[in-house]
Amino acid sequence: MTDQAGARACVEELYAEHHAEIYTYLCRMLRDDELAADLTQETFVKAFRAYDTLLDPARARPWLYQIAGRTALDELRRRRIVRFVPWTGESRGTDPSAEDVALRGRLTGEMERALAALPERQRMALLLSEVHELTGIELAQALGVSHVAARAVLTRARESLRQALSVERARIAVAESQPTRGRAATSTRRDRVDRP
Amino acid sequence: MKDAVDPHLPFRQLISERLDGVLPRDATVRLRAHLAICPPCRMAQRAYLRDRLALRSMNPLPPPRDLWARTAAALDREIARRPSTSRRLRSDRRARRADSPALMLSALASLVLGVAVVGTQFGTSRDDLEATDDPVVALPTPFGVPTQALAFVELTPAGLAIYQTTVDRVCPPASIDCAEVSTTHRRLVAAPGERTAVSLDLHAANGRLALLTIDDMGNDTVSVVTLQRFLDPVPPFVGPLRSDGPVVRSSPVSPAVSAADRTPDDIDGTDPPASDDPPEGLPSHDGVEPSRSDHPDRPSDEPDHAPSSGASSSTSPSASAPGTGLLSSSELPAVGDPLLGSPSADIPSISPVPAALQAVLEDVRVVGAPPSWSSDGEMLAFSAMPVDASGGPDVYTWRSGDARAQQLTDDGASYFASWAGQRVVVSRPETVETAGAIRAVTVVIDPGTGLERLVEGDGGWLPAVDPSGRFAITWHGDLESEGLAVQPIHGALSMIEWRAIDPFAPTSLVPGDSTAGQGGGSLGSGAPDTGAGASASADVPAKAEAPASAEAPATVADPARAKARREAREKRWASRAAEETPNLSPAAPLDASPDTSPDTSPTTSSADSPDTTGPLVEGSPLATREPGGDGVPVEPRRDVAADPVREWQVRWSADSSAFGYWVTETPGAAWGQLAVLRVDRSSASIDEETVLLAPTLARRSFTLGDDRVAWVAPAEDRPDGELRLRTWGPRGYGSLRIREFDVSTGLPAF
Repeated sequence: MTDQAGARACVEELYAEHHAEIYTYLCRMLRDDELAADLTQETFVKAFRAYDTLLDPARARPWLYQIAGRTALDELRRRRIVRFVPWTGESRGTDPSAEDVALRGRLTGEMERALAALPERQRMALLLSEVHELTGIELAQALGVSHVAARAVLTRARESLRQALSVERARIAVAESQPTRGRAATSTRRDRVDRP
Repeated sequence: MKDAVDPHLPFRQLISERLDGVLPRDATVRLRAHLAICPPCRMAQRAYLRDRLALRSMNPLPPPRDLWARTAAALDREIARRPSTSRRLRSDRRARRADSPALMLSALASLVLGVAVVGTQFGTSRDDLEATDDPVVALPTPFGVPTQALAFVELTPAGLAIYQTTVDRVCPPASIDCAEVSTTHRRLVAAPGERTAVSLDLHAANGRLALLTIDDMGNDTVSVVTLQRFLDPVPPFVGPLRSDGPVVRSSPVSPAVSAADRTPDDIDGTDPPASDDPPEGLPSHDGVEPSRSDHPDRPSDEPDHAPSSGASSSTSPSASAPGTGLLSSSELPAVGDPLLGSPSADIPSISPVPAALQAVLEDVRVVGAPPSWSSDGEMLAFSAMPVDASGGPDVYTWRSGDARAQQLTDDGASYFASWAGQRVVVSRPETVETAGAIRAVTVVIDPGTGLERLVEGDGGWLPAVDPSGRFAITWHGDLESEGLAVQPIHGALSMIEWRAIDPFAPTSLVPGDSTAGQGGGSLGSGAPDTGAGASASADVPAKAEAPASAEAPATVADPARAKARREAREKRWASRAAEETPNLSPAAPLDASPDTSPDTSPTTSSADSPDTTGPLVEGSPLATREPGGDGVPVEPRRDVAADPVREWQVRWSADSSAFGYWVTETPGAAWGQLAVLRVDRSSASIDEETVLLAPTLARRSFTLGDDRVAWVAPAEDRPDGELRLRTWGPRGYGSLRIREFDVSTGLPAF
């Protein structure tokens, strides 16, 4: 087996084990599932290119997150992508039902929008630590900073999220004071689900 | 700039680091001191926790199905574009040093060689690509876990649908869809009308299910069903890997909803079909025409018809004993694989054994802990009160063979808490007249003899005793009366050493009963021959000296004696109340306990106790708080004053090594926080380093096995939620999404 074939086999294993979480991470970073899929692919191609730099296979997970994070940041900066539209997680081209949108919005919309309001590195830190449950050392590796710096970023991220959620809830409270189609759909759905 | 002058920022940093478990002791002390005087920081602490929960409840997102194909193609292109890495590195180094035409020529030769190599590999890669076009490769590899049966139920208008399967492999972390379990057995048994399942308890050894349901009038019904062949081998695992890559559910409607929606008119809502052949117009729940040949072993003498209409099986309880399952039996052909969302050729076979739901008590309001089986699965216990609140709650038991549940107490103030072996643990509220407060009293009743003994130590409210009988998770706080019932108001869960206060524990096991003095609640004073006079005389002396009341099982002891007991207890509580200040918050966190070696002063260990790893030890977190203490807080970081636990459920693993708890601050809430923690039995403490399941949003009912927990989690893309499984063991953590179903009627159980 050539070294390239060996690297490819290793990357395939990494893909099998981590592609779902890398994709989820990029989705929440970019709020664009198609772009996230593209960058997930790119992440593993980059991992293949840089496989020689992975000295400790046990640390492959934060290494992959580091590649994915840098890929996302590069893309965001290159394209200057700022998407303020609510992201529902639906693939483009599909047309989710009003019920789905309402329910999804109830469960995650508030958090998604609050996350989107965070600076990118803070969002990365929160997602990696809380959603993907990286340890402190892994977080530092994934962010490419020291352990102390990673903790500081995480603290700022938590505080930022708290404030962003407050703003978001206030916005929702205002919105709910005015009947909307979305609210009606939610109520309908809840009635159906909670029926005896 | 603003941060630089914010005096709270250092403490926010500490709060954040505490969340991650990296806070040194001195910093902890400093933080506590600040939190005591800083409401904004306390709010921030709560918010951080709440936000963490919300973040962790976000589900993984399914990647596109073609992601692996795209990535594999990109990798192939990458390989095709460049030579072998080592050659490339060598040629790069050479190129950097190459100034002479000779070296450039050499580099060109390398390039040609590289192209040749790539050409060779390209052919191989194409083959690989074709081979790896199968997205199976793209999925994380599931790993095996000990096989365990799992059941979950749905109440549909057609009846109670009981699914069973086994789980023997799960996905590595961050993946939940790499493996699939099939609901290979689905039974539909008669169920009384439209009801909502509230809680479920399965005794896997004998296949008995206890089900608590509520109708639209708010009336509770406790039912049992025996699944004779629950433990029969079932095809444990169908489709080790999804053939279509990461899961994208094909059906937007949960199968349960589909089934429910399709069948009522056909089944008439009342009369489930009894034969293999469904009624006309009702091919099956998934539209698959079953054939009798699918079930060659179906008994020929099976009843043709279920009881009619609407009749709850409870209306004819004497028709047959439970277990024979012929009260009103029916079955429908099993559904197709609900995950596929469409009929399939591989319809799972149905169990040929009929089963029926038998209501053992209906039209009541169940209070206290959910109905639960004794350790041997032969008895069910629960507490209930009249739905019109004309009387208070009493404890009921049901034994295998009984038609109806029998009343165990009649004082109108007894709440079932849990089983301690084969005995029933009961909590009772008692008003301390002098203090004007309601205090919790715990008693243990042997349902076989009627023998009742008072727990003299602080058992809290509704202690859930572990199967080994050593520990209990209980609630400490304030109770508030609500008519003839009581409601928890402010409080939290904590772990106590039950064995130290178990009045049925052998006297020799009770440590320090004569010296651990805190009023009448000294450790072990509940032992009948050492307790305070009044209660000792009121309690029955010993098993061998069973009182007259013991001859009348399932009845309450002499009311006069009960009154004497109450008076004695009230005196004791009154004397305590004069000394104590009600403690709204749980005990100090674990690290507040003295650093005493855990083996400095062991007491005798139980000869017959299954747990011999750690007797009650002075200096252990529990020993320092017994008696009269609140135990080890389960949630040391909970601000009880701001976010009190109002409702909860606790389940222990069968080996007593872990417990799961579900809590909510809102009475009646369907959703709450679920967590699973490990107990460090050697130090009699909660192992905070090993969180088996971090607090996560979950539906009220959950089930806990020795190495796994199942619960209903919110689904981002499904209104009905989804069943989740988390495992732990030598191979690490694993997760699995079982299937989606209607969480308003579905409950899981091991």
